[in-house]
Amino acid sequence: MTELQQPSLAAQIESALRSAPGVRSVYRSGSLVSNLIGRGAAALGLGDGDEPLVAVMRDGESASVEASIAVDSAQSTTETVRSAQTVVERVLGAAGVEMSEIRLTVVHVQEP
Amino acid sequence: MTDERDAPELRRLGLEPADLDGHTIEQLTDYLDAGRMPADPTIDDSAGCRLALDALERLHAVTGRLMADDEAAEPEADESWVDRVLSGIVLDARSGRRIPIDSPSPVADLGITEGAVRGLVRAAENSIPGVLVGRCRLDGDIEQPGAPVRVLLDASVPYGDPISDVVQRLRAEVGVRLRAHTELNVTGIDIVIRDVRDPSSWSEEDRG
Repeated sequence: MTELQQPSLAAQIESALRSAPGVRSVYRSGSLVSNLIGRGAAALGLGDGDEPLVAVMRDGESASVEASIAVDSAQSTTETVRSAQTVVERVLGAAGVEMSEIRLTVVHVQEP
Repeated sequence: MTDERDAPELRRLGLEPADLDGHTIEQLTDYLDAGRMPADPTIDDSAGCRLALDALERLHAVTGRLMADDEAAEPEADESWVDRVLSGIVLDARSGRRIPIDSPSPVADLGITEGAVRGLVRAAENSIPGVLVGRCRLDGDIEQPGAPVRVLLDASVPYGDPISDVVQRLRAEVGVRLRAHTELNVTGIDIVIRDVRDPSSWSEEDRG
């Protein structure tokens, strides 16, 4: 599989996720180590720190997406994450990209 | 960021520095005290730190009330229960295992972290004034859909409220939250009251 990051598509998905009902914020996907390395690189001027927080791996006409989100406790987390999945599907569909896999993880349920 | 001097403080609580994405509980407390200004993205962009900040905010509200309740000047809260609550807060910051959430799509893999669920359980203390949740554990194979899970948690309660009533309310609130936000097959919620906080029982030594 050719793993190629898709920054613009990732930015679109991140923006759509932030607007999805019940989603409060989007966090960087990946391990603590990779996040710390990313922050270190940004501090050294090797990145602007504004890279999309959503990971999109492109393989031909399809793509896999990984995102970590915080959701609002006032709404059911299970419903929110399913609706976030639909939002991602719509963005990919509009871009003419087939979804090979989507991995969404709720990392924080925020109180009002 | 965490350095070697900070590590013993976290380890005293049975934790590792990585649990708060490289920050210490003291740094988060200072950040909270400063009104989260200036904004620090290494804290704000960390789910673990945000979970801990939410819980620290509630802890500070309760300890602040305790101090206000006592006319003596600034007594020190009993470190034993504060430590227990703090250790639970930092434990929540660990993402832990991943709990699946069902989806009709075969290509979707949805889930919630164990840390997020522990934070959700802890926030039940919002509904019962004065109650603070210490450690929270999910006992069972939570990564397998439908597997039986027991929730075990410690709590600290204010003196004066009937403990059985408080436990009943806390158990009900935790149950509601877990049903609303997860698909866990919760077979029991076991609550142990570790501390009953009574400001009038603090010794003169405690008062400094």
